[in-house]
Amino acid sequence: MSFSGKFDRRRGWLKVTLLIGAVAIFAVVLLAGCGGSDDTTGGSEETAAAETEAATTEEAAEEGSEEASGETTVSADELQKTVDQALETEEIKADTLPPLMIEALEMATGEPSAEEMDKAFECWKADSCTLGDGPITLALADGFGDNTWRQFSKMNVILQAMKFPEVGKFIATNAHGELATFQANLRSLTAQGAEAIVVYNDFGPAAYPAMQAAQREGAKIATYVGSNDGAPTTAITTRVQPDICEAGKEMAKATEEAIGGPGPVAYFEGTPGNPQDEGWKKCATEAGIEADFEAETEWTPAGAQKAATALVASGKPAKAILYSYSNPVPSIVNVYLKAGKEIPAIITWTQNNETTCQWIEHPYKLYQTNALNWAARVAVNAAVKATEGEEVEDAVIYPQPYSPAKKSSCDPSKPAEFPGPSALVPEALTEKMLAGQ
Amino acid sequence: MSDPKAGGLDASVLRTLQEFRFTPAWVITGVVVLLLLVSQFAVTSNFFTQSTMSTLTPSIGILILVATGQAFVISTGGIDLSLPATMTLMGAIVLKQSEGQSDQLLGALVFCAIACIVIGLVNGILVEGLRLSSLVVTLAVGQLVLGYTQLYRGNVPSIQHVPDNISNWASADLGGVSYILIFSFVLAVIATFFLHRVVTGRRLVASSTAERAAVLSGVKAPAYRIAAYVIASLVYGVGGVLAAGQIQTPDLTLGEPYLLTSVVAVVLGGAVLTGGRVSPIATLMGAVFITVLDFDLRVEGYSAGARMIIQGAVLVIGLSLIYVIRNRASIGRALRRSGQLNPDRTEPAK
Repeated sequence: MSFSGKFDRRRGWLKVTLLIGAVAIFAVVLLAGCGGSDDTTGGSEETAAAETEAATTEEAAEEGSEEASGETTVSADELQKTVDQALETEEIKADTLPPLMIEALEMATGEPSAEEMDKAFECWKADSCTLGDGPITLALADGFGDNTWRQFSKMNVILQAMKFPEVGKFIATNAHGELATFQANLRSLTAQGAEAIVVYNDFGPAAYPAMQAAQREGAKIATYVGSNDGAPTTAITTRVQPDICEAGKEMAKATEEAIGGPGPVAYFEGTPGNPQDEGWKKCATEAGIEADFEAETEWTPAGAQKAATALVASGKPAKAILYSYSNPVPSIVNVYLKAGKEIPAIITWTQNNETTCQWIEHPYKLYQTNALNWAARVAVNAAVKATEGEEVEDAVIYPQPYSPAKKSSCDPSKPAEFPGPSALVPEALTEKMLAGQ
Repeated sequence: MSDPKAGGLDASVLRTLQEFRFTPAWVITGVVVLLLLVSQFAVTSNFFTQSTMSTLTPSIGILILVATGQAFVISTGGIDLSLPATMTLMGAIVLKQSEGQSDQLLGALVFCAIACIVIGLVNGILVEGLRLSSLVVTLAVGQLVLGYTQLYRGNVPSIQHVPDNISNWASADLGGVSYILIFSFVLAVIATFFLHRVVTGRRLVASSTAERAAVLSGVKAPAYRIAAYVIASLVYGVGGVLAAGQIQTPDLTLGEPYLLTSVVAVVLGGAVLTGGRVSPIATLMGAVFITVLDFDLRVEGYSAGARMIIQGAVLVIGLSLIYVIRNRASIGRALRRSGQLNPDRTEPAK
C-alpha cells in the first residue's frame, strides 16, 4: 500500500465525517426550528426544578442545622394549637410565653413517627437507652418517679430528647422519695458522664448541695414544675416553674369566680411546710381570700381523706377547697358524698382523669390547671442548650391558668391517674404505656 | 372497813371495788371515754353525728386491724416493720388480679392470702428459726416486698380503681359506724377469746410470754411464735385490702401511715416491747385513742409539727402511767422505805 493511497482513504474518511457533522447540525437546527418554544419551556422547568431542588436541599440543610441546635420551624397556628393543648386554655397567646418555652413547644408540635414512638416506648421501659448518635448523655433524676404523672413526665423528657441529634444516651433514675437515694443517683449519673440532667426536685433546698456537686462535675441541671425559688445557679442552671405567688393570685381569681366571693375557704397542702404550698397560700390570702381551715395531706389519698374528714367535722362552712394536687381530690369528694354534705368548689393544680370523671358523675365547681408534664420538655431544652455552652435563662416562669373542668378531659377507658391530653404524649404512645406492652 | 351487817348487794359491790385492779386496759379505756367526751363537748359538737362517724370510723377500724396484727408480733418480743409494704402489696394485688372486676375479687383475695402467708413465714422463720433480730429481718423483708410491689404494679398500672364490690363494702356503714370498724371490733373480740379460751391460743400466749417454760411443758413454742408472724401478716393483709377498698385508688403509699401508729396503739394498750401478754381489746382502745386524738388536733387546725409534739407528749405520759400502774406495788414499797430511812428528808438543812 502506497502513502498516496493511504492519503486518499484519509480524505474519504474526512469527507464522511464532515458530512455526518453537517447532517447533525442540520438536524439540530431543524429540531430547534420546529420545537423551539417547547424546548425553552422544558429548559426553564428543568432549571426551575433544579432550583427548587437546590432550595429544598438548602432548606433541609438549614432545618438540619436548626434541629441540631434544638430549633424547628412550625407555623404560628400550629404552635398556638400546641400551646392551647398544653395550657388547656385558648386565652394565652404563644408569643407572650418565655422564649425557651416557645422553642420547646415548637419542637413538641407534630406527631412523632411510628418508629420514633417505638423507640421512645422502649426507652421509657428500659430506663437507659441510646436515643441517637450525639455525644451528649441526657439524664432524668426523679425524686419520686412512682406515680403515673411522673411517668408521663419521663415520656415527655424522652420525646423531647429525641428532637436533639446532639443527644446520644439517655439514663433515668428514681429516688422513690428518699433524699439519700436522690443524692446517690446524682453522683452515679455524673460518674456515668451525664452532662444534661433534668430533675424533679422533691426535697427543696435539701437537694441543692447534691445538685451543686453534680454541676461542679460539669453537668447542667434544669428542674421542672416543683418550686425552687431562690436556688443558686450553682445548683440549678434553669428552673422551669410557675410563679408561685402568681399561681396563688390565679387561684384567688378562680375562687372568686367559682363561689362569687373571697370565702370562707380551706387550704389543703401536701407535705408540712413545703415552700410551694406556703408560697401560693400566702399570695392567695394577700389577694383577699379568707381561709379559716388548713390541713396537710402529704399529697396522698389517705392524707386528703383525713383532711377532708376533719374539715367536715369542724363544722366550718368552707365554700371552696384550694389544693395543689389533683390526684387525691376524689378522696376529698368521697368524704363529702359519704357525709351527705354539699361538695365545695375545688380549685387545684394539675389534672387527673378520675377527678374529672368523678366530677361528671357528681357535679360541683371544679377548676384545674393543665397536666404540666410538658414543663419537662422545656427543662430538656434548657439543659441541652446549657450543655452546649449556650446562654439560658436562670428561670423559665410559665403561666398557670385555672380553668373550669371540661367533660372532654374525662376518658373512662383510661386509668384514674391519667393526666389528660395536655400531657402532650401522643394517643398511640399513651395506649402503649397504659397497656405496658 | 365494811359493815358486816350491810346488805348483800352493797357488800358485793364493795368487794368488787376492793378487788378491782387498775390494769392498763382499764386505764386506756377510761382515757378513751374521756377523749370521746372532750371531742364531743370541747372540740366539735359534730363529733357523734353521722357525717363524722361515717368518715372517721373506717380509719379507726383499719388501724385496729393492723395494730391487732402488730400485737401478735410484739407479744413475742419482736416488732414487724414489714407491715406497710404488706399492706401496699395488697392494694396492688387487688388492682391487678381483679382487673377492676367485682367477679374476679375472690381470686385476688386468695392471691393476697397466699402472699401474706409467705411474708409471715419468711419473717417468722428468719426471726424464730435463725434467731435473727426481728427489727432487721422485717425491715429487709419489707424492702423486698416493696420492691416487688413496684415491679409487679408496673410504671403505669392500667387498672387503678378497685372493684366496686370491695369499695362499696369498705364505704358502707350501719348508722354511721363503718362496717370496717364493726368487723375489726368483732375480730378483736374473737382474738381475745382465742387467746384466753382456746387451747391453741393459750399455747400461743404461753410460747410468747414464757418460751422456755412452754418448751419444757411440751409446747412447740418456736412453731407457735412463727405462727404469730403469719397471723399478723394475714391481719395486715385484711387491713390492706380494706384500706384499698376505702381509698379506691390505692397507690404505693397505701401502708405508710400505719407503721408507727400501729406500734403506738399496741404500746398504749399496755404491751411491752420486750414481749409478754397483750390484750386485743386494749390494743383496740389504743387505736381508737391515737386516731381520735389525731382527728381532734386536725379539727382544731393544729399543724403537723404541733400534732407531733402533742402526740409525743401524750405517748410519754401514757407510757409513764402504764409503768406506774404495772409497778405501783414496788414503787409504793420503795417510797415507804425511803420515808422510813430518812424521816426528816423534807426538812431544810441547817
